[in-house]
Amino acid sequence: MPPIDPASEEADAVRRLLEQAGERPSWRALERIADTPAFDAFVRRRHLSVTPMLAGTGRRRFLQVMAASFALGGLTGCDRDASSGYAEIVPYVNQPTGLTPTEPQSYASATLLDGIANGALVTTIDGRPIKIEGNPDHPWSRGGTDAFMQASVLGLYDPDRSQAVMHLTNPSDWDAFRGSMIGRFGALQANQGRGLRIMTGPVTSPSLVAMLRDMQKAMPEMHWHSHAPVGRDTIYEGARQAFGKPLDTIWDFSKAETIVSLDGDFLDPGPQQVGAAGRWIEARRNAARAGHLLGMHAAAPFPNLTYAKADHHAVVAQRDLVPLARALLADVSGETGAGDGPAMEWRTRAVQDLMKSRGRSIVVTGAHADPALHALVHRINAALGNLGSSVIYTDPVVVQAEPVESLLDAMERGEVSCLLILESNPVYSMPADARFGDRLKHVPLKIHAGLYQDETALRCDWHLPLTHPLESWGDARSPDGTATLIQPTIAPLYGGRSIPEILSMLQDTDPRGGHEILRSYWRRELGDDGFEAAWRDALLAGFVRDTAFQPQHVAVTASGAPNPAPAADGIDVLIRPDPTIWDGAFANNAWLQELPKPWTNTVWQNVLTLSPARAAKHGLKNRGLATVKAGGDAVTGPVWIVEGQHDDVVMVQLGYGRGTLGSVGSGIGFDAYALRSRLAPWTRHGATLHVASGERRVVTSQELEQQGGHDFVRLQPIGAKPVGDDTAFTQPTLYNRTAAESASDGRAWGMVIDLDACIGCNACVVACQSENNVPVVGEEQFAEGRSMHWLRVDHYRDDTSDHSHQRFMPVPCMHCETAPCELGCPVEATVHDHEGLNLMIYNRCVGTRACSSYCPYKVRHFNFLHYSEAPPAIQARRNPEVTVRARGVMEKCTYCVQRIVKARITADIDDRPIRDGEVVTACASACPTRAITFGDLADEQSAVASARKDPRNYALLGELNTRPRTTYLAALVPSDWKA
Amino acid sequence: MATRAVSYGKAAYLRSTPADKAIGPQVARIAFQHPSQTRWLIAFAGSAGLMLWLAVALGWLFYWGIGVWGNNIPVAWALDIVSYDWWMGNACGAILFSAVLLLFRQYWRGALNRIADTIAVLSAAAAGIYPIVHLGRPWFFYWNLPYPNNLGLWPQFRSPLVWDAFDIISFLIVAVLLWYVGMIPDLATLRDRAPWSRRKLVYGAAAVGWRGSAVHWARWIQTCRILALLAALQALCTQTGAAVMYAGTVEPGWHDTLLPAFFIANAIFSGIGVIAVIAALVRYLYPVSDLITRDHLDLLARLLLAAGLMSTYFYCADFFFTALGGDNFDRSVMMRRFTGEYAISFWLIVGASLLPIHLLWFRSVRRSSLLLGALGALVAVAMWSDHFMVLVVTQHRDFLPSSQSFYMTSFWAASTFAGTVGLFGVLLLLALRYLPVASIVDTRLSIRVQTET
Repeated sequence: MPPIDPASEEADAVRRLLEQAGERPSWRALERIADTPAFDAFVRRRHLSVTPMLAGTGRRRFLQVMAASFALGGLTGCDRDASSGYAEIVPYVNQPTGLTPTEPQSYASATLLDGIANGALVTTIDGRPIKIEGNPDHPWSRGGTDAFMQASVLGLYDPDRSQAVMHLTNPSDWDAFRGSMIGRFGALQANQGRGLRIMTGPVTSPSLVAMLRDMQKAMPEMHWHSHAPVGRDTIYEGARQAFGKPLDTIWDFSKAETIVSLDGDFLDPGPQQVGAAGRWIEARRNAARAGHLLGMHAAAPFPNLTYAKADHHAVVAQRDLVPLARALLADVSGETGAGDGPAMEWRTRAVQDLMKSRGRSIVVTGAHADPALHALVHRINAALGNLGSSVIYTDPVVVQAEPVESLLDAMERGEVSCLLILESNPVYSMPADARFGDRLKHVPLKIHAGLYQDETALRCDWHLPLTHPLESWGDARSPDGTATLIQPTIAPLYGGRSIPEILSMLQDTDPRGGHEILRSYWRRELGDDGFEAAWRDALLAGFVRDTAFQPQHVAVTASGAPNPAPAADGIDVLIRPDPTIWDGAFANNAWLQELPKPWTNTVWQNVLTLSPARAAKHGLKNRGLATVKAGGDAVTGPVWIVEGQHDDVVMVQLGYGRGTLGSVGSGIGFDAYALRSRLAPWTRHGATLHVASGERRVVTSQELEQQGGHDFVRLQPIGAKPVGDDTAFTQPTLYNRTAAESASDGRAWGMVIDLDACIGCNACVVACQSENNVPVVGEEQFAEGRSMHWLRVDHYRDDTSDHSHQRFMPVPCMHCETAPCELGCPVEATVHDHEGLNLMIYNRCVGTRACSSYCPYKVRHFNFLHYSEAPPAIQARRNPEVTVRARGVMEKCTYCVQRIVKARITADIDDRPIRDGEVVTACASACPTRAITFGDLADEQSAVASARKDPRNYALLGELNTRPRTTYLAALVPSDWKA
Repeated sequence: MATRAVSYGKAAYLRSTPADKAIGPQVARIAFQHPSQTRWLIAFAGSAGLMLWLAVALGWLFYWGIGVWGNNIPVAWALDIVSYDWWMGNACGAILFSAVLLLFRQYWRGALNRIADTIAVLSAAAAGIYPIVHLGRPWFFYWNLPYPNNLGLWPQFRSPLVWDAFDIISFLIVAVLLWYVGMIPDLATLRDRAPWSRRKLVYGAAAVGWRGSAVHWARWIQTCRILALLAALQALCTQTGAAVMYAGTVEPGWHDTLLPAFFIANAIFSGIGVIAVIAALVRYLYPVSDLITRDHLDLLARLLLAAGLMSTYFYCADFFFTALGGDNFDRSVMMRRFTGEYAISFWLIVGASLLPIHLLWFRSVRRSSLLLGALGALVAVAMWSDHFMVLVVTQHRDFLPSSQSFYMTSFWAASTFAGTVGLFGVLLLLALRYLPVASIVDTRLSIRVQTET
């Protein structure tokens, strides 16, 4: 029994009893004085579970209970009630159809980011979801994944997730919650829902929206608000300014010949990344095949991934973006006198290309850009005639609820009697000037449902554990509008319920389950005729066919007066979602925390990024602390210098500085929400930078970003002489090569990585971690240089003056044919197999680490400590096909040997060769741009063999005569590219 | 055989040419009466403390794993292998000194060969713990060795690490034999002079029935020569073997045919340095200045100078060939040795050994026990630094700039090394106290040669 809270009703009861107890009560403990029939009854009423204890247990009673326990112990096996779940434990007599123990099952489902879906296939083994793959049939994501999707499976098992209904921070249960709500909700329903407010995160789910709309119909005075820390509000506001209504933009890169990005972010982390990157690279590949480059001109204050993949760069100040867009608009509209402006050289060239490809170009900006910039970009696209061809507009994918502003006012006025916060954490993620926590105090009944007992949960009367998308029924829309179905792959691990289930519990006399709610919605949508077949087809496919939004035919409205330009001095603070933990939603996900942030290579915390000149001006170095002040708000954090960033810009990332979350995400980084204001959520103008004393440890996966004159990443100017070569495989030798070249059973596994396609999104890194049970080592061990990522993405900046050209290079094990590591190992723990794989035999490894010392690529990782130790819940996630490595053992990329073996066995049973494409490594299957090709080099027809014949193909450090099986395709650059 | 000796500068190493028979009692007195008891006890207490700390450090290591050391990826080998190589270098240098002088019939070695042999054995013992404890899973250390097993698994014979395991085992056997066999007549002397029976028994057992018969002497001399030859070869094998652990890779700064010879040169340099330190220590602890005379120190100093010049030549040759070789990665490693994060290790080599040894051109320095001992210690430190430079500079950044990671040693790695110094010290002090510190037989031979010439 938890101690009595002095402010609680129990304490009051005790106080009253003490007062009644006479003049001189003598007692040893409060329980003693409270031992009155009245108090007893009170306790019985309030705490049902302790009732038997109150009676006390005599010897006779004890013996009776024990005897009964022994006698009845075996009866659990007699439970015939299927609904209890125990009946399922009996071993199968008849195998359930389609289920073979240890055989992986794949279920089409979806993962969510900001409520927006990407199609996923969830691999489960023996009932445990262990891996996310892309759903190749999904019309938006087309089999690609991103790091968030890959890591979501770890989030499912997170033992720090909320595991119980909490009432006033005491554990309670669902029945108690429902019991205490029946009366209140009855009253609310009778009262038209006056005073009831529902606050959700961004919602795209058609069934949930229908449910909320039904509720509003039943309770017309109920309000539904949506709060999204990283929403699409600026996108919709921009469309409103240009077209008069909120719209989403879809880019058809296949119709484009030129892309101009004004701080665009379609290749950056976000719900659009998988689909947009896949379409972009497809178009770029087709263009390259046709002999030209699908060039991208990018101007941005911060070099994000989209900027990194551009071919022509200009660093512009944040405050110059709108003027630059205005000048571009004037240029492409044929207006003269746009005159000089920022990034003149870049602009001239971009305009040249745009004019050449009118109607076949795309101008983009970022999700967090000023709405005015969005509107200007729409106008430029309209002026170029791109609307409806390369730039398509659709209905907004996020359903527009009432804005949070009106909720804040209502809370302040005391008009909210019951606030239902569903999967949102406003106490943490509201702008500081919203003072949400203070306003929450005016609400008498606060109910929070979330995955974690987060900041908001602690301030609410009730906290309800939500189910993870991998354990619940649901649906959500993809960026193109495709309604994607979410199938549970496991029963709720921690007793959570989904949002529709909670809503049903509150208003229905007979609460419905998530499956029933979803089915009944779609039955209504798809019609009763042939519903079962259609439903089955939708579940198998993972989405409801033909639900993508239709293109809208829109025309730009007359432009209003331009917004006043922001003050032209001071620093602009860019507030952006973190590339790995987003708005904080993934803060307790260790895979994502340990994933190097693509542009700073830092892990485990956020930083203030500065340009080298700005840092020099303030005498700041990497890791030195600095304070950014904007208005009355300030944050202090460690500095990280990013080359190619504008001098008047500081970028901060959201999601850190969590006080109470879990064992992974608490107490790291600083809270950048403190800098946000309601009016300027993404940019604060006129900020100042101050040097703070001290340093903070910032851990990086790669300190050096210069190639030092080497061509590790080769660049292929389009149309120029091929830069690839096969010198790595034609080195003179005294040895007989035939053994390595012709494998005994005719297979030779190899991998080709297209550096032009790699956008540095890190999906492959997390996919590898997930597939191969790669442990997380934590910030301290990472700082020691002991990261375990089998696959890393090297990040280089070209040795040019402004370092704005960035290159990403995924580095797995090269599986060298003449592997230096194999020479070093004294115990034959790393050897070659007959198909050319460089194997690692964990149980033979004694840990001399010679193989790592001998490896020129340094792709080997050592279990310096017992890294694989993890809570049981995390262990349940592990892939049973892959050995969990012990302390003192070396490990490295195996080319997902377990997948190869599986394919080999299947092929052998069918007595046929392994088909090309039958083995896909985890990294290759995760890649949204299909940068990685894997297969049998000995098979002339295979994709990997033809990729190797690409004139861009070359080997990393091939001159060492390691004859690597992993080779690279040089990145494409414009024909007039100069180093 | 004893009638012809190569005249080496000055024939008279022993100033007062003491009578043949005085040597035995003089050496035996040290073993029996323990002069300088306080000094010895202080040194012993310090060493024993360090040795106990080694036990703690190894316990901590076995409990947690290699992670308690600062090693990482890419610096997978750090203080563990640095210390191992350094100890083996000392061992090989010391045994080469003893064995080569024996083979060339330099009887003056009698003053120093016991010290040299002891250093060789004890350094190898201190080194010997590393190949086991530095493993990720030390309980499987025997997988490095060929032994019949039901899996039919053998070590991977192409690996230099396997040969290194063989090397250190065979080195220990040869070194112990040379040390022990060379000591048998002296142990018999102690047996004969032991004042009371229990000592007589122990020394007598150790002297394995040595009676001094002509046959014994003949066999003994033959055995010593054979063992010396084996020891010299073994030392060369061990050092080249250790070097091939690096030269056999493709890593810049390691992949170099010069490296095995370089290792031998530095081993000799380092080994003679340590002999100088211990000789100075013995002269400080015990009244042996008429056995280990300033003439002996002078000769030792000349050898140290020669070894130092040889080592300097190798450094120059290495830089020359690297600069001329034209491999960009090699040159980068060389530049990082001079100017990189760990440049101190290179400048320590220069500042503590390659430059100061030129003091040995001065006779007064050569003949000063204190100065020679200090120089020897500096050389030993510098050679430790050399191993650190060779290992860490190459590993922390080899080819790809992306895999660069710096190495910071840890308290426990340093503790382990300090502990091996303690282990060496404890065993050395015990040997100095209970065994003849100088070779009685060889000193007598040396006197005879001296008087005969």
